[in-house]
Amino acid sequence: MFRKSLLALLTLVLILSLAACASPQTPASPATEAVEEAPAFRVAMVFPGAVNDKSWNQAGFTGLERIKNELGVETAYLEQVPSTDWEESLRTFASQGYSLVLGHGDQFSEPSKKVAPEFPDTKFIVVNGANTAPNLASIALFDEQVSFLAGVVAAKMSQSGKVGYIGGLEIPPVIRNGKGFEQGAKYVNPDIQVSITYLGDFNDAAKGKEATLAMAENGVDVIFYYVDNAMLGIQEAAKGANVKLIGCIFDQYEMAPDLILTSAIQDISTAIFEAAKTTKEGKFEGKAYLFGLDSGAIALAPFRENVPADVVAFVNQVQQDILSGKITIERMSQ
Amino acid sequence: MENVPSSGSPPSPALRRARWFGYLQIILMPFGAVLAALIVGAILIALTGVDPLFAYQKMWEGIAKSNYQVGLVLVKATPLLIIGLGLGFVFNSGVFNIGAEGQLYMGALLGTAIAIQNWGLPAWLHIPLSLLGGFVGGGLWGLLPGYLKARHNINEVITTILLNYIAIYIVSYFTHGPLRDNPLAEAALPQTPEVQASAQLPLIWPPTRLHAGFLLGLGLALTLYLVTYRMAFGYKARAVGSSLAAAHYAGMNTTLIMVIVMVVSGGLAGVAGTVEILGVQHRLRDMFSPGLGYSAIAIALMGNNHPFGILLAAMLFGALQVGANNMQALAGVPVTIVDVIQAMVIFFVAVSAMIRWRAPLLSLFRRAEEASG
Amino acid sequence: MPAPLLEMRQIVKTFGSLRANDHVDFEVQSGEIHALLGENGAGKTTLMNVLYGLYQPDGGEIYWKGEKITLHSPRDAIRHRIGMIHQHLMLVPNFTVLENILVGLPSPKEPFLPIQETLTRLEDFAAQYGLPIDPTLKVKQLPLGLQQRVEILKALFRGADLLILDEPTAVLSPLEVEEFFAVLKNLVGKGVSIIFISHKLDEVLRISDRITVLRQGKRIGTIETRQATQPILAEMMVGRAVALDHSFPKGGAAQPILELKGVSLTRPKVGRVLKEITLTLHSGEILGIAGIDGNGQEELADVVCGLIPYSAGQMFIEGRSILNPTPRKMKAAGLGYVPADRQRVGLVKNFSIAHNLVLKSFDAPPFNAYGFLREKVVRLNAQQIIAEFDIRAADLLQPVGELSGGNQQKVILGRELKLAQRLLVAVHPTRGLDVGATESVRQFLHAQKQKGIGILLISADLDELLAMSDRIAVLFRGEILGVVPGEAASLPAISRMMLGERLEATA
Repeated sequence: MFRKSLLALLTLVLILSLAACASPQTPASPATEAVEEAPAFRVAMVFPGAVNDKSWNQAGFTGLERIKNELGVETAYLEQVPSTDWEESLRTFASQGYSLVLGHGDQFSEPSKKVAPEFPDTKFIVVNGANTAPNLASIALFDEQVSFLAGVVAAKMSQSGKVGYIGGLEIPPVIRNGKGFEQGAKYVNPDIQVSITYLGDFNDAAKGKEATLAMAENGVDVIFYYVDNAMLGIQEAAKGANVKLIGCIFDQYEMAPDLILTSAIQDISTAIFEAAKTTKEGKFEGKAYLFGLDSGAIALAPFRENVPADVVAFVNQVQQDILSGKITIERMSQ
Repeated sequence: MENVPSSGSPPSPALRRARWFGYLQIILMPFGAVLAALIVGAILIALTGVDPLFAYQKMWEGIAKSNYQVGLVLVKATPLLIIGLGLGFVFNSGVFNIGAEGQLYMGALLGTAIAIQNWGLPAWLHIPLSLLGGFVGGGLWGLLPGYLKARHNINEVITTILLNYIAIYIVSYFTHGPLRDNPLAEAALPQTPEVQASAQLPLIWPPTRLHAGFLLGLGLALTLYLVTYRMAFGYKARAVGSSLAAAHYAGMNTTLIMVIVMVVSGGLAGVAGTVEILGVQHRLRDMFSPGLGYSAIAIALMGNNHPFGILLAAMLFGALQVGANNMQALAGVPVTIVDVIQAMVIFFVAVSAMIRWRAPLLSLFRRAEEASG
Repeated sequence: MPAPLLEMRQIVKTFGSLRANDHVDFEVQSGEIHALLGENGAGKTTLMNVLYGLYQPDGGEIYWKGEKITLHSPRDAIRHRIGMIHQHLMLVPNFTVLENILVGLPSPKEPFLPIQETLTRLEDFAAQYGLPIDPTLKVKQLPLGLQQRVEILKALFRGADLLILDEPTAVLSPLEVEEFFAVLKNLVGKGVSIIFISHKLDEVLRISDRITVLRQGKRIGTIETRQATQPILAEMMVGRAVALDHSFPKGGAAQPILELKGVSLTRPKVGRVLKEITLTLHSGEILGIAGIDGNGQEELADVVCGLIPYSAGQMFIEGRSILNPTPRKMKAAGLGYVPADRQRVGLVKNFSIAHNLVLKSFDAPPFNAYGFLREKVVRLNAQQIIAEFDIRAADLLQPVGELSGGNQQKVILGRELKLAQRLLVAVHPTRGLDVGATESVRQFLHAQKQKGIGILLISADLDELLAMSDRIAVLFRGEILGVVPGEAASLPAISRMMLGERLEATA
């Protein structure tokens, strides 16, 4: 009996002491805290996964590292943030007076929309975000542009008139790459057959191999893929089936020099870096930034000797036409 | 009650001393355990090249720098408290429910399904209705293993763990499919629409994020204390947990009691899941829980299955999480080290709690004397 | 007198404020059976645990074969060829006899086990000490008497000049006790010395050469068994003269309270546990049930009390048929039940005394109001019962698991006697209790009888049955072989029935 009342008392004491520890000049809202500090430009970033995941989060982290090294500013980050903490992690940094807070992924769209109005002096950027506000921007890659070029290369190089696209999960960036690829291929040859397959997995090499063999069976001789480790299975199957490949994300030529025609480089870290640089220069706008071929964040990897000069010239011409606006590519709606 | 003498003769001074010593242990041992874990943690932090004092300063600031941070601690503690209360209740009856995670998901699913409906209900009706949905969802997920255990003596540890996976995948299915927000938009995350404003738990301590779910948790703690230690049902439930044979001998319906405690514990996990959605996340997302149902097991153990002990343990966990996040964000301590420190605090406190309940400190001293003499 | 084999001088051992051994002197001569006698809690086991290296003494010295030794652990004791057999046997139930003996035995050909050698030695031992056993049987298949034999063999294998036996007869049936005593005599003949710990006067008088009595941690004295009598020993143990005449006034039976007609119980995998039991218990009567443990006694009690539904037959209370008895129904019919296993069944060990006293009545007035326990009433109830039954406890909130066996039994009696408005079923009510507690439990039972309550007394202690019962029924393999009057003259008939011999029913 007595022990129980003692426990109750302890509970009360703990609650009270926690409250008492709170600083007496408690600010009315976390927003006002930010005002007191922040003379220097500081950047913080929140990642949903581990920053060494050799994938999406690591690409973002590379961008943050560039910001730190090349802009010479102080940076901080939180990684492996679960959905329970998305909103609070943005708030943590904003309340500490960080000038720019980035959320690495679409999932930060909604939390940032809630948090941004609380901290009008902090700029928020969400990578692949959906919302904008006076102090909230989103940045994204115009992936259709580079995959369009990949489609042009594939169509030009195909002997059979059949090309293929293998994606990991059926999610927006993967879908966009497929759409761009298809448009590019049809731009060259309106009658070309484009097969599109999603593995349901970015890393399953066996599935990648199977899908590749199935496409080769149907006469596909050039494949553009957007996967992670599953590419190993795709490359293995392609070697036996005499299929040429177009890589993704970074220049993958070295992985299979005889197979890889080029790669659709999609470098989110450059977009992040550029956005931070713009913000530091005071040119931040609360809008959706789209990083296209002109930004350098996306590009085709340099061609090697396995692509004939006339094809290279043609692709370069298409790229010029895209940049000059002669060819317009539709951005998939969010 | 206090005016009733506890026995014919007053307790001897030795007995009173021993009891006070016991109370002192209850207070001091968790502190000692936290301190020990922090000291070991300091070494790890130093190894990563960060000043441990600076890191701990940031941790402390994260916990108690402002009312806002205190509010955060309590927000974090809320779902853990509610699940932990249910688990303490079921553990007291000797049933080892490892399925709180699954029950949390099923409760959150049903609760959210109600909370997102635009029925034009007032908040005083919409919120309780959603919470009830949470209780039913989690309760059903506790009923099945409870029934299997009580009737067919099938090990509840195994069934509840298996049911966890099923529940998580069911929620995955609903957030990807039937309950998905705006499924036509290609960019949509696997999550439900936002819960109606009428179903969102009100904030009770602006500008902090503390929501009414914490008050619910406190109310539940008090209720469960009364049920467990003051009501006939709790007496029965504890008798079943202490000695099934004795409970049967005394004429108690042991099967029914086991099923009821499982349903209550599952139901509370479901309520906790719903509270987390209605109070914090406002949408049910695929994989929305970072293992709350498992952390709550440690909390129930640390709190010795006693509602007030669980309250303390949940707040310690909440403080630890918020503080550790702050330490990671602002002192640059790697997340892996932060996780190790959190786990160590839990380990030290849980072990010290078990030592405390199993063997009084006195006997430890005695054994030490014997070992040296 | 030759130099003693073992000499313990001025042993002191304290636990907290309790002085379990207070400057105890104790010696054992080579080749003797030395009984260590005392009530529960007198310090017998503590002293022996010191000797076996389980406890380190706070003071005193141990001389073994004339040399001073220090024992840090049982390993040291074993090295000095001292063996101990605990009250609770420490065997691996799923291992065979051979495997149990091999456990902890050093092997000359590590990492292999010396199976063949051990088998050969086992045969030698069996012949030498008169301890035959089948080494291939699993221990869990053996009766307790044989399990104990395995323990003894284990100790002998490790080499033992001195065997400590802690309450070895507590688990044995009367017949097994006879065999066991023969084995002890044989061991002594082969040069093994024995310390025999017990609180049973008659056994000690029969088997030992000398007797040392402990009381409250102090050595009271050592006497030659030849010069000892039960009253002398009892007075040494308790510190005052004790009435050893256990018999209570008989008679007073009136109308039938409980009638069983052809009650049978069949259990899956076990088969028929009770066969057509027909019995009548009258008000104011004590009906004893005798039998070797495991012949259906506990099942009979559970059936009568509604814990196990019976398979066939009929049961009547005061002439009213009871269909599908449950514990609640039987409680309502005025039945109290003192179960065999008081720790596991009769009590919730970590509940307080007060809460254990309402284990069967917490959910009804006056202890319950609107679903809440009325702690005040519960405590008042406890205060009354504690006073009435002289329960020794720190206070009424003390967990019942911390009480001594006698006080635990008093808690159960305090609860059940209040419920026993018509009849009481008591199973082994004094098993494991010391002399004082046994005496008071019997007094309580007798007082119930005089109030007109019918008592079904199930006990393995024949003396107890003869002293208490008006009639005694004997159970053998689930069957009642006969009912005889509760008087000393019935003893031969009871013994024969316990072994399965059918007699003409006389009552």
